Amino acid sequence: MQKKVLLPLGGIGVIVLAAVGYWLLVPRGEPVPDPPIPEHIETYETPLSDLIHKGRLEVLDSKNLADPWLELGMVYMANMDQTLAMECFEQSVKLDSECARCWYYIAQLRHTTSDYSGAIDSMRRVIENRSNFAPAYWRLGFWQLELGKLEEGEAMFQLAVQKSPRDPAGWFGLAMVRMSQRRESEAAAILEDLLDWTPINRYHANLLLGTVYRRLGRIEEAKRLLMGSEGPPLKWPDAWTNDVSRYFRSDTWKIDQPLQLMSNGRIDEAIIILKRLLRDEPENIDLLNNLAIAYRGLGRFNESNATFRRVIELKEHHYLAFSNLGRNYLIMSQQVSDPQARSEFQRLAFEQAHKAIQINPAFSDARGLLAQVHEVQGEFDKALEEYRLAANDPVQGMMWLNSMVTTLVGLDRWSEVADVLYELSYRFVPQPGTLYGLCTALSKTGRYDEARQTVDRYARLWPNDGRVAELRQMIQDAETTPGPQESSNQ
Amino acid sequence: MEKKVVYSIRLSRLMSVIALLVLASSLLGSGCRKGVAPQAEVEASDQAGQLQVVDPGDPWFEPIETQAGLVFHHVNGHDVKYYMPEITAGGAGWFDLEGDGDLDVYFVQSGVIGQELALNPPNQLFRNEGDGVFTDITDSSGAGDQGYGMGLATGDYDGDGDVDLYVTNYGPNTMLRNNGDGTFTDVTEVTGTGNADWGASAVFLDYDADGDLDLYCTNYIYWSPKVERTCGHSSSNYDYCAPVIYQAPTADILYRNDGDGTFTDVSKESGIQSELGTGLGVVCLDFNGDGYVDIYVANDGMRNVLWVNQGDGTFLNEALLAGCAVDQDGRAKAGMGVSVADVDEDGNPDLLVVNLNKESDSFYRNQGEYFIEEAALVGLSTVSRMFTRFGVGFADFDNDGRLDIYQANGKVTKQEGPFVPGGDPYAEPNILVKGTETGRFEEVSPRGGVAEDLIHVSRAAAFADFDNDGGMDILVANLNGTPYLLRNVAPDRGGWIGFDVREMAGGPALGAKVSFQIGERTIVREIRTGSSYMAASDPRIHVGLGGTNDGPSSITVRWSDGTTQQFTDEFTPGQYHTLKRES
Repeated sequence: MQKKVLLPLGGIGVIVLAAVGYWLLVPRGEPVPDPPIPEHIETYETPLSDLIHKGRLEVLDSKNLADPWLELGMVYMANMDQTLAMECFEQSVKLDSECARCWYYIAQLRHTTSDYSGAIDSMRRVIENRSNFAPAYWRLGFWQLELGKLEEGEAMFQLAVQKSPRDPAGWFGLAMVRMSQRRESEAAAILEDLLDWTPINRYHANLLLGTVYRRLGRIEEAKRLLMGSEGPPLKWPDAWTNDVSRYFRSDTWKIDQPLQLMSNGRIDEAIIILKRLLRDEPENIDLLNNLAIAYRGLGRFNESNATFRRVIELKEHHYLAFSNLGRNYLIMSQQVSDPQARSEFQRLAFEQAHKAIQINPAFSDARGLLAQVHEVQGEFDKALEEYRLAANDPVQGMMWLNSMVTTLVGLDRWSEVADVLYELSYRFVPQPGTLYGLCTALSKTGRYDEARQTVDRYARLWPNDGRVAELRQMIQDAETTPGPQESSNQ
Repeated sequence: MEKKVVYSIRLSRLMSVIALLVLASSLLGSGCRKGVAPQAEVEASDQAGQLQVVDPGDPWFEPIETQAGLVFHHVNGHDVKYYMPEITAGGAGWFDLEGDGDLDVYFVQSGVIGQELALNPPNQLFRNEGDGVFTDITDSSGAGDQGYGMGLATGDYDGDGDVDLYVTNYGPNTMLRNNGDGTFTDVTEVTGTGNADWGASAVFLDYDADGDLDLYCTNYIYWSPKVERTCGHSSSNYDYCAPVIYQAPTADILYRNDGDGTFTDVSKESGIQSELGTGLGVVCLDFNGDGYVDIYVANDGMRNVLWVNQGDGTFLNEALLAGCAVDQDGRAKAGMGVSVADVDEDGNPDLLVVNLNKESDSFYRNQGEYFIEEAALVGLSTVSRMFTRFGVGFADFDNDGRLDIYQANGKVTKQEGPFVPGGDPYAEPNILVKGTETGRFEEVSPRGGVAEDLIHVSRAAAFADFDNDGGMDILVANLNGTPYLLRNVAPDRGGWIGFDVREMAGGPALGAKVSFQIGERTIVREIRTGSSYMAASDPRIHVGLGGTNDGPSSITVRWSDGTTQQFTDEFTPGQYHTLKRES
């Protein structure tokens, strides 16, 4: 019996030794290929082709190192050439099979091509080599959910939140698992907690919690949350994915550069760059549009207006230019003292906003402008109607909701103020001022229970803020000596 | 080029080789010989990485468009510029032209954007001769509309017993009244239904329950050649833009049938105009069982809309609250086609929306008062994700008593390169998934249910039993190409029974809800022709019976105006039974 065991083991030893010798001594002739290059790189925009050439040169300099391949792959990945990106990443893991980041990008690319098996295997390689990287776990969790595998997904999300408790993605994933398991109350608890602290994808949390409340029959609460559930396409940020975006290049990059300067107050420099760029492309509408905005920033309205008109001349349906031109007129109306001139500028502002809306009825900027024109003309209901439409914009919505609040406060319409502040507090990360205002509006309209709930919410978010006591006192005072109340909408 | 030799000596790799050798030796040493799986078992792995048996299986469909005489070639008119309507077109449908029980075919043609309409090739009408052959009767019928065509809706709007056609176009839509003698009259102007926007899918419905058919039409985006943009990506500097580029969603349109041959645009007072969207697909369903027909619209890149009928001529969009606006992951996807069926036979109609590639399907299971999105749980999240799906429909193609799904696919950009090297960059194969007893769906092999891959840019998919043999067949319109007529040849098809539910005058009873029991199964179906993508399908009810061979003994029909009627008879399986409304 003992012999029978020893014999195969002896054989194994010989084989192993032979293999080790072969592995160590015989050079393996797997040549490293040249880095890939897009077929029609000559048609690419210069910033991108420059970056690709630079990346390739770095690879050619150190072909046997994984890092240059990884970086070139990131260039291709950021600029949507998934095939070439994959070639680079695959080469990088051939050179360094423990490159967690390389496997991470491979996993993501495989997922985008619906290769779930490959994506999951690659992500497991990430975890093998970088076991504390939470995004690897929650991404795996989301993929398991897509496959309908709740238990596997849950396990991954649990690990993700263990590794990084303040990364919201894992908590979102866990809530989604609970929803799929029809354990709504548990899902609600996770989401309610998330909404107290995460600034990331909170509209998504609103959507999920609103859905959960609906299923639990808490219809009014669901409605309130769902109002704030629209946002930009969902993204789960992580450091490695964010790094890829650094390599994105396009003409918009060229256009964005002066915009960046403008936002830093360096408008003169922005104008110089824009004018230089326009020498090469005198009919580039985006450049012209930005130049016009830069002129406005310096108060050079005549030049700004002329440039916007040039944009419209080149593209008669450029609603952005119409809206911007209108905004110029509105600003100009506020800078003149002659009532007749003011009224004329307001008319022109209205006209341009209206033209923009005719072209694109959903353009929030033009809606907001129209609202502002109505407001300065004292047409408050019309203004509120337009603000409401402008506020549907997932990004600019906060600004227009705030405008609505200001208008409604001026009109002493506190019940509506409360509704808008509710919306603001759910759609966007709640600010102390928002909840303070909400509490005030609710007290003024006799909605004391809701006011108290709002103070509780305030206290949960900012437990050390002295205004909590102030708010409680305000509600108590209002309750004991109620003033004239506007009828509640609720 | 200098070739370098790589000496990569890595401990981990070394250890893995050793481990493998040890494993191999020990298996050999113990006399194990089970290492090699049968060839079929290792040929492929499923998406979760598990090995599965690959059996190409017998085809479920046979393409017979050529022998059937369906000579049609769709033209989108693409030349140099990439005009958005070019990539979305491709409608088609089935309807019974003469009430003879044979379903005829209508193809919606497009043409060239900006060209004088009279120069566009016409839509084409093919009469089913009943012997598997179709005859082109476009010229004699007067149904050859020459707008830049999109989709088709069918219904007997004037209650004369003949099925009329509504054609959506980029530009004014066209209403064609069936004269009952194989000809049509263009009554767009008289009826007031020439919506001039970019119409996509449309449906006839009786939203006010007054017994006549109203009309809902989705409008895609506000677009004209003047607002066209140049879009490109790493694969090409020129391609079709995504709809979001235009930032120009529009409102859909609802026409109320006034009962005198005219319609009134009630989009504003009904509330429909209060939402802007990018509507492509539309279906009608009584989602909450309140007896009033509701409307579900699949928007492209925006939240989907559920217009819940308030019973007083108005609608409220309750999609978000009802849980069918977005997926469970909260994403507003690029909704194209939509289908509706009571998949789990609980009496509530469920919804399926198909989306762009890299986005899963959306399967909304109806709980009576709200939906739960369960695409992943039923296996629909990953199966079709690599394709851009347009036409879609539930039908029991193998008559096993469980609904299957067919999806017609074709890309909208050439970003990922052609599916077949050197081929049409927009073309993709279609897919067929089979309902299983676990409640999950599984892809059928061979792909698309056909012996050889059919790879074109598919758009509308319309479903009908055109040869009345109890097997659901499929008509697929291909963009810039010839269509598929897929005759059902599914192996070992089970038994079936069908019902042709008609109004008093003889037209299909759209909106009627039909309920009956077969064994343990409670079956509830609504009569509709509009679903999928820019398509019109067979209004008849087709039910696969699986292994059983029993028909129902009693059937309840709730007509669109709310009245009900009971039918009791010996409903023999293997044939269509007509259920006609009594006066």
